[in-house]
Parts: sequence; C-alpha cells; structure tokens
Amino acid sequence: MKRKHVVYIIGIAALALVVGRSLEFRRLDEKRAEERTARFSPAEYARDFWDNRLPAALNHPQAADELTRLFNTDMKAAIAKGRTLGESRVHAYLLGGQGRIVAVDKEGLQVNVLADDPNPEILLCTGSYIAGNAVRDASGLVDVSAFSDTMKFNRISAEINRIVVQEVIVPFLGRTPQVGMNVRFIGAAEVAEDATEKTPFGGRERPEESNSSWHLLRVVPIRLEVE
Amino acid sequence: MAKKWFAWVIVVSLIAALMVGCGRREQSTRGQKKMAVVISTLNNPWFVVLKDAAKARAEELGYKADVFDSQNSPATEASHFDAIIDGKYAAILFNPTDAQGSIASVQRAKDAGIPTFCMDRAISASDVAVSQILSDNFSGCVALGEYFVRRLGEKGTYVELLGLLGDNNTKNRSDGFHSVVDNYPGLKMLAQQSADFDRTKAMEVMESLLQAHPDINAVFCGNDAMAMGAHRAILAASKDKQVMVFGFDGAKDVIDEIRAGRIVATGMQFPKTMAKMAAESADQYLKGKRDFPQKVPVAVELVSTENIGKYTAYGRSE
Repeated sequence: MKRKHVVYIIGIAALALVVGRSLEFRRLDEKRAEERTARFSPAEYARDFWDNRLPAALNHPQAADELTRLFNTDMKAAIAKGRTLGESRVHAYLLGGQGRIVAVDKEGLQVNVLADDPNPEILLCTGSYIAGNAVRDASGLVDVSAFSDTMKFNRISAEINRIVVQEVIVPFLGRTPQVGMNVRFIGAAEVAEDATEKTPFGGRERPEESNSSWHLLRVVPIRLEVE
Repeated sequence: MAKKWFAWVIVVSLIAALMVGCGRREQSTRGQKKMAVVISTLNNPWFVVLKDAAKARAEELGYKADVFDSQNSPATEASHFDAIIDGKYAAILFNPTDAQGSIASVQRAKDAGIPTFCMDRAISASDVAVSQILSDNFSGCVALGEYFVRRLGEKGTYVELLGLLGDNNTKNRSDGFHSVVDNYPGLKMLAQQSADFDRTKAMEVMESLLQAHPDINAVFCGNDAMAMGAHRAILAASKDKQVMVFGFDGAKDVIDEIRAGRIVATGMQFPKTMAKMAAESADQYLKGKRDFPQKVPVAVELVSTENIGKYTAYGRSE
C-alpha cells in the first residue's frame, strides 16, 4: 500500500513537472498590451488622433501674428512657447489666425498676417504632399516613449500628413483660393532655432529676387477656410 | 599532537590571509564604481567617437569606465554582458548590435540589478533599458530628402546605398528619405543596394552601379563611411562633376569633403551629446533618480555646402 502511494506521488510529480514546463503564466494586462502592440496600425492610430484627440488641442492655438512677430524679435522667447521632441534645436507650434493671400504657388499659399506689413510672412503648405512631424509634435499628444519601435512613431506622422492632404488641402484647393482672398487657419509649424538668424520671417534674403526667395514660416494646415 | 596543532595554525593563517586579500580587492572596486561602455563596433570612426565620449564623461563623473567592442556580433555582445554581470558593474552605457537580438542581454542585466542606458541605437522594447537616447534618423533624412530634391531640381536619376539590412537605423533613414523623394515623379531611383555601412564595400558596389547606370545624377548613402566609399568610386570613374553624393553621420572626412565642395550634404548626428547624456543619466540613476523618459530622440541636423561653417566633425562649431 505504502509502495503504491510512493508510485502515485512520483507519477503526479512527474506529470506536474512535464505540464508545468509546458505552461507559461503571465499577467493578462501584459498579454493584452503585447497584442495591441503587435496589431498596431499607424492609419488607425492617426485616424483616432485626428478625430478624437486633436480637436481639443486646437481650442487654444497661439496667435499666428503674435508668434511671427516674436520669432522676428526674440527667438529665445519664441522657443519657450514651443514643444520640443527630446534633444533638439527644432521646436513645434500650434498656431492659428487669419490673413490675406499674397501669392499662390505649387508649394502653398503665401499669406500676410501682420497688419503693419503688406508682405507675406507665412506659407500655408498646400502642396501635393506634406513631410515632417509638425502636427504630431506640435500637438504634444503622441509620446515617443510609448512606442517600443520608433518606426511606428514615425509612421504615425506619415499617416497624419496623408489625412492633412486628403481632408484639408484637397477640399480647400477645390474652392480655388486666389490672391487677395482672406483665409482663416489653424496649423502646425516646426521652426529651427537659427531660422530667423539671417532673415526674419517675411523678410527677403536678397531684395532683388522674385517672390520665391521670401523667407516664410511654413505652416501645415489643420483647419483652413476662405473667409 | 604538536604537529596537528601546527597544521591547524597554518591552515587558519592561510584562510585569514586569503580573506584579508579578498577584502582588500573588494574595497578597491567598491571605492570606485564601474561603468561598462558596450559599443556595437569600433571599426567605424563614428562609434569610436561615441565610445570615447561615453568613457570620458563616465570618468569625469568619478567612475572607472571599461570598453567592450561587440564587433557587430550579437553573440560577442551577449558574452560581454555575461562578463559585465559577473564583474558587478554599476551601469551599462550601451550601443546595441541588434534591435531585437540585444533585448535579452539588457533583460539579464536588469535582472541582475544593473541599469542599461542605450545610446544612438534602440532596442525594440520599452521596459527593459532605463532610458534610450537615440538619433532621430527618420526626421534627419526627411530634411536630407528635402535638400536632395532641391539640389537635383526635382528631376534626375539616383541610386541608394543601404546600411546593414537588419538594422533599424537603415530602415529609418531610408524611409525618411523616401517619404519626401518619392513624391517627385521626376526623380527616379535606378538601384538600391546594401553596402553594410562599410566604406570598402560601398566603393565596390558603387563601381558596379556606375557601370550599370553611367548617367546617374546622385547617390544617397545611409552613412558617411559609405558616402566616402561611393565618393572614391565616383572620383575613380571621373564622374565627380556629374554625381552628387549625400551621406549621413557628420563624420570628419565627409565634413571635410563638404567644406571642399566635393560632397553635397550629410545629416549631423551628435554622438558626443548622446554619450554624455547617457553617462549623466546613469550617474543620476545611481544617485537615486528613477524618473527617466524611456526614449529621448536627439535631432539630426542637415549639413550642406550652404551651412558648413556652423559645423565641425561630429557636432556644431560653437
């Protein structure tokens, strides 16, 4: 009888060992987080960002005219108003305002926002594509540390830029914007610290050159309408 | 009986002497904590700068810093981590060989209570290293791509030399570049080939690409070592007036070539900044700080013939 018990105990222990080694116990929330990461879709993330999270951030953009003036007079103060991703000399801004279209070209609309100067200071980017991270970084809503793979973080920008082209720029260009019209906009800009070192926004690098040499603050539109 | 006592006295004395010796050794390592600087390869001057800067800053902060060269081998890297764990290092300043393959080593160090701080290259996990200080390769190549388009006047043909195919930096750089350039139908890529971030291999690849595509206008290279190799091949084929070379890193020889007008542009990474930040973060961690961002991107800046005056090798002039 005793011997039988010993055999049973050894058998159960061996079975437990075999089963135990083939099982892995993990926290359910960790497993779910892993699954979310594995099926990450930049397009879905960008759509959720655009529809559900970005609108609240657009309620209080910085005034485009004041910010432009600040860049031209006190870059340090302007830097303090921007968002910076990690260690960088490029700063991102959400800005909004209204202005007059001074010129239209394939890159965008040259817009005058400073009342005391007839020249354009801003380029509202309405070209066929948008590059860079202006909207993602200016919003402050996407944290790079949340992404185990930085490629995913970069792809979000590409998808946001695609939405900008398809849902902001293309419909706006359908209304055939023309020189002299007034536009109202909210957008995002990335500005390097030495951007106004040689020439202020709205200034000319060489006075004799054509409009293409105007030094402009490039703004990716998020909301854009003719007044 | 006396013999037995005598033997006991000798044995006890030996043990006591050994213990005192061990105590002394322990004290000498305890007196100065050690940081390990683990670098993916020291065959590339850019990584030598990263290593030197990390070691120098760790020593300035009062640590003994030992360097481990992984020679681009995840297996060598893993054995370095074994030695580091056995050697009871206080922290690891780490430049990984492989985004996926290096995770296990960092996890083992974490399990052993040794914090790891990644430099320049990431590992694809956000809860293993304490912090990862990384070059923003994608954004740097967006800027480089925009300049490429402008310099080529939106039209022409080009080839691309890729780095190591498994490396996430290779993909980030290429994707950033193409996120701009592919929007211009006038720009046509005729070939895209890996040269493993290696200068000699880049020269060989470029020689054969020039034979297959003698009329190209430009070459985009995923690092400066390859840009120098491509440049040599282009010079040998007497096509330096025809083919524009674009690199990425900010290495000394490419900065010199940009200054001389022979290479058009590169993306300046800041190895000294990243290494310094990693060493300082490790020091803060060892002094009790725990609140670190998992990822700190360090911006890459466009360096071209137009703004070369602001830059020197591996950094800004100021």
